[in-house]
Amino acid sequence: MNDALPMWTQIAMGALALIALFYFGPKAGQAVKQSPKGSASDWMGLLLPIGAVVLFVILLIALARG
Amino acid sequence: MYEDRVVQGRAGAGVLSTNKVIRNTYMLLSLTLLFSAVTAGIAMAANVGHGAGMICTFASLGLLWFVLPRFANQAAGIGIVFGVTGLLGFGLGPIISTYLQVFSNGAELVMTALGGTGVIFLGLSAYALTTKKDFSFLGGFLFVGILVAFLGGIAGLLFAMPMLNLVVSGMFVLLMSGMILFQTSQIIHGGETNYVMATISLYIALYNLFLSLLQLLAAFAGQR
Repeated sequence: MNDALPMWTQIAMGALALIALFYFGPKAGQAVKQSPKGSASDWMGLLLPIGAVVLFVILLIALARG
Repeated sequence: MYEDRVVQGRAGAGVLSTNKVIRNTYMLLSLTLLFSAVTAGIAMAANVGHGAGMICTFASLGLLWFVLPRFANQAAGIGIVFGVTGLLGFGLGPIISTYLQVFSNGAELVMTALGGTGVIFLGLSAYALTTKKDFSFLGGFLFVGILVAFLGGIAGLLFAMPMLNLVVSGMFVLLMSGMILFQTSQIIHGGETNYVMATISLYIALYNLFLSLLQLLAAFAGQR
């Protein structure tokens, strides 16, 4: 356990994780079933903007490092 | 010919409705971001501790998960959105203060993360708006991905695993980028007609994007 965190924070985070798991877990399953399936070209269309974001983040880190 | 006009009229009404949702969403998003900046500034000026910041963040999650969905179609929904974003901004204050104190280049890191978040949001929104691609297929993937990353983030904090936190930050940058594309595409294609829900989705994407970028920048370029 992370000793730097107070006990109440650890308990609250654990509770938050359980709520998220049991409240949103089943909803996530439903969302996957109801969501339209993307074709190969749909996923390829996603690669361009996401690839640009990855390159941009690398550029930001390089700029911040100086 | 008459039928053509009816169809064109319906299509025109659809476009007008979409434009209205986009305009209202961006207007409310701007106001909530300003409000968050004010509450974050207040928290920093008052030197609020991490405990109080965390309580605000937990309270905002409670509002976001359990209260907002019930009031999303009512005028009260707008007030709740300001409640959520104000509390999240207040919780952000102590985090930013820590970065400013711990790192000698803390101010540069915060400004770079802020600017980077803005550029990514504008770029992805422009991409979704101009190409008009349908990203609705991302819905299920994003839901599961965000849940896994959220649980991973909590595990990383609870068990003090910095590498896991970095991986989660990287995941969040990609997932929130996908969220911006998905939500913008949903508005364009009529999948999201409620500007209150559209605003809070985009706000959460921006909030997580900023925090994740800040963590990545601090890990790779932070100077103590």
